[in-house]
Amino acid sequence: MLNNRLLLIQRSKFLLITLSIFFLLITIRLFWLQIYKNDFYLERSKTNSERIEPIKPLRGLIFDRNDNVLAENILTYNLEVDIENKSKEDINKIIGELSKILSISESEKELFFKIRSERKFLRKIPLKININNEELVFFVSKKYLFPDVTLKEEFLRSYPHGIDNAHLIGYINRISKKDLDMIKDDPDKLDNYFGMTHIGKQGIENSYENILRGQSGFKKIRVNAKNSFVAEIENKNAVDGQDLILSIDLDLQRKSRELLKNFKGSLIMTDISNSEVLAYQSNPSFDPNLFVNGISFTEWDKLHLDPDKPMLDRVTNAVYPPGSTLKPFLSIAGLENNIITEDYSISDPGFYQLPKTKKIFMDWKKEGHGNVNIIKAIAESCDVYFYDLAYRLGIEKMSDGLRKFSFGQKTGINLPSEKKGILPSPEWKLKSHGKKWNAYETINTSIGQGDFLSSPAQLVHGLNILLNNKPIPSLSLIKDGVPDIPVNYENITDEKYIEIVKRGMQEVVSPNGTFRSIANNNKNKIAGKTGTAQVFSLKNQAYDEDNIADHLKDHSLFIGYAPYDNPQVSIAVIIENGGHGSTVAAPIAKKMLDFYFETTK
Amino acid sequence: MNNIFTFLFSRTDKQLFIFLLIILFFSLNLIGQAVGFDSSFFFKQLLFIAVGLIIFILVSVLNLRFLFRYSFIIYILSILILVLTAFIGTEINGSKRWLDFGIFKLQSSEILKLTLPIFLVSLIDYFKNRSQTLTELVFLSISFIPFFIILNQPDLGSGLIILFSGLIIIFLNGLSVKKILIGILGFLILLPYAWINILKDYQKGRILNLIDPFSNPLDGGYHAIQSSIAIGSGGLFGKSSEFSSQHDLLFLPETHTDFIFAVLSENYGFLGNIIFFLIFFLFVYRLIIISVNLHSHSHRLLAMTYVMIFILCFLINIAMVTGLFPIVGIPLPLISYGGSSLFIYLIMFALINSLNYNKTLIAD
Repeated sequence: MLNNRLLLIQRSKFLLITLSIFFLLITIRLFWLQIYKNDFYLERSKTNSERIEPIKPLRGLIFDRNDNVLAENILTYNLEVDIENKSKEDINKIIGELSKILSISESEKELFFKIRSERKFLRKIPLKININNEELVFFVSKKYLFPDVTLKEEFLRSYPHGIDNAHLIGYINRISKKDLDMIKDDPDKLDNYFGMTHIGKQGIENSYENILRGQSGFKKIRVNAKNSFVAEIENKNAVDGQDLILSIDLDLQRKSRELLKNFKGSLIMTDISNSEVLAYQSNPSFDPNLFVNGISFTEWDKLHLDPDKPMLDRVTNAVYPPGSTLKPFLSIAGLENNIITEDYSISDPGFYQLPKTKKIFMDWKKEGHGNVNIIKAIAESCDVYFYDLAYRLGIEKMSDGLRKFSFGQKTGINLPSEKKGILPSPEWKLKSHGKKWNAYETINTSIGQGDFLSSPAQLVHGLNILLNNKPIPSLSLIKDGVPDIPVNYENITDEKYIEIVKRGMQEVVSPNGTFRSIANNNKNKIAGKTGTAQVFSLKNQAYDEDNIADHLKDHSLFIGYAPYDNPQVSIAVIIENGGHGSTVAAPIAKKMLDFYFETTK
Repeated sequence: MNNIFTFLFSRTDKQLFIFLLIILFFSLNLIGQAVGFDSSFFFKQLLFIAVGLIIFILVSVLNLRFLFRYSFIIYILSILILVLTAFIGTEINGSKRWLDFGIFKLQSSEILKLTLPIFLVSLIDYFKNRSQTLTELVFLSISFIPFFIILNQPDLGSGLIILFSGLIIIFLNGLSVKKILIGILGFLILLPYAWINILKDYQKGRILNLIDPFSNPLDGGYHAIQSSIAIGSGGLFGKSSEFSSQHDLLFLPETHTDFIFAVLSENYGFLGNIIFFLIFFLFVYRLIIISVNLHSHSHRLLAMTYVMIFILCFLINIAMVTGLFPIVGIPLPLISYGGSSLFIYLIMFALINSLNYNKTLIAD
């Protein structure tokens, strides 16, 4: 009996010691978890239950100068699918079930899977954007069938007069992978874009992105394991984007679109006193609303494969030879340098022979203009007068003089990818072509041909500089965005030269001028300069307007202002392959200016 | 009335009873914290404890002679209950372990924890004059029968505990060192076979999750991770109120049953755990002292086996919750929510208490 007991005690001791070692291990484990790794697990327990939810700011609205809305946010209901831990088959099944109660198009599906593959960290992806009321009611009644589909209230960017302002306003689109990389590189931006889905891609939406976007806020909440809300920890409100009031006038936008309807071309109209842009139109246009939630491949192809390039902003992103619209600016350079005076005149036989060579340059008027002074030269657009002026002035002084009017430089208008064009000069030629300047190129340059390229925005800005005789600020798209042109700016040239050139431009609409067709119908006192720019240089071949392919036809240009005795508004019009400036571009400008004075008085 | 109480309490070991009450108080408090003090679970547990204590006291006054006399019938009845469970048991999460009695579900394998040792111990005297090896083989066979039935429920954890109670008796009864080594060798040889043929995929998964819980964070590893987070975030003194607890936010499910220790760790920290362990030690120490001082070999053997199973289950549960052991459904003795386990342990301690009291009677 006693033997048994001792054995039992001995064996029990053995077991107890074994179990004690086990106990010790557990205690060490507890020490490790609770003391040594406490910080780590405390942090884990926090992140376990804390979720940060972004609060999106409302994007600023865009108005025209008369408070018409050009870009707004409308409340829509989107259907989002929770894709977390779901295979493509699972998702297809959900979409299949969903399409039994509401229509889901192929392009919507296509877009859904595109976003799914691009934005890997997104948990919920929109499937159907902006569902209509009927669908909304129907879905809500069947919601219990779709635990993974949620209805999301969202503000959708909308452009009520989209097609009238497409190039100017641009559009926002879903943040792409490229945008994301750009945002990621900048910690400030990363904060601002927290939870954001869209970014300004074109036009004002792009260039004023920082003002329009606002700042996203966040809500730090505590959730339980089922992801249900438990408590709010921290809340930082979003700061909504600022509204923009543009200098643009919606009525002028509509009118200009109507006028350009049958042409490829553009138009820009500004307030001379403060450089505010009143109308900004490029045709053909497109509907920016198509882009807001990602454009389908079909629509994209349609826009991008169109030979008429509807996406191209022809006001600032396209450059053309200025043609004869350059002549007023060149005149200033000639007068300044005493190459010509008000009284100086030449005799134009209809051609010009480059001195010391046999090179002949034709005037557009075969029989010549006879005796020509500066006024007549501008009014009738006498080429020979300017060939002679250019030759005697020299290319260096010529390009220096033209540079004052912003040729070859960006106007600084706040829109993306403005083109600066080309102001030819010997340095420019050496740099870009590696070749020496030829004397005949000076002659070509004098009539805005050759390598000379400028955008309609540059032309109107140059005209504004000329009319103000001051190095005025860049074109502004914001109403009252810049103060009136400061009086302390020094004149860029002698005021009397400006007066001479203005008189020339006034004569353009006289019975002898190139735009004589309105000589008796000019109550708004329009002055300006026509231009016809060669697209195609013909060798030994007569230019026959009726028998030439459309895309080789001359561009038709006009720059102008009104009224000539007290200039208020300026305009530049270009019609691609439109033919003569006086027959296409100038009448459009005239109608536009007439409309302006009709509606604003 | 007063006399009845005096009668009843005169038959209980005061120290043991006080420690038991402290531990049960711990249990109530932790369950209340896990599920809320106004939860039905809390009131049910309160009821279970009350009923359990009555059972404890009633069993304490039993004369155990009949228990040993009818131990075979008790064993057969227990096996029948197991078999019955296989047919009419309630299936939860793919395993049939429970018999539903309306207000409470009985986990049938728990009964064997109590009755198998009684049966085996009652055979000791019977086999007194037989060969030791024969005794051990008979004991082993008797232990394996319930083990296999429970294994098929399936409930590997409880099955192993039952098997262990048999093995502990054989060991404590003086199994020779040679046989122990042979046994261990045999086990090691059979291990690969068991891995391939006996263990189910989810059981293997749980063992593998132990090695790297983060490899499978949402499935099997989830409990292990969330439990580690709950324990680890407890720190030295327990989580301060500025942090919400893991179980409040439902990240760690089943906290009132198998994972109750995580609640203790999260709310009272390392220090709380140490204090809890100390109370446990004192309780176990008292049990051991009582057990080794019983007057009959078979009584000592029975009591000691119960104590060992109690400690073993206690350790396995904590090892499981702290991520040192695969997740097997073994509750924390006396603490976890549930009637079956609580009643069985209270009956065990009541039996030890009774044996202790009857010892003095025998001495008289």
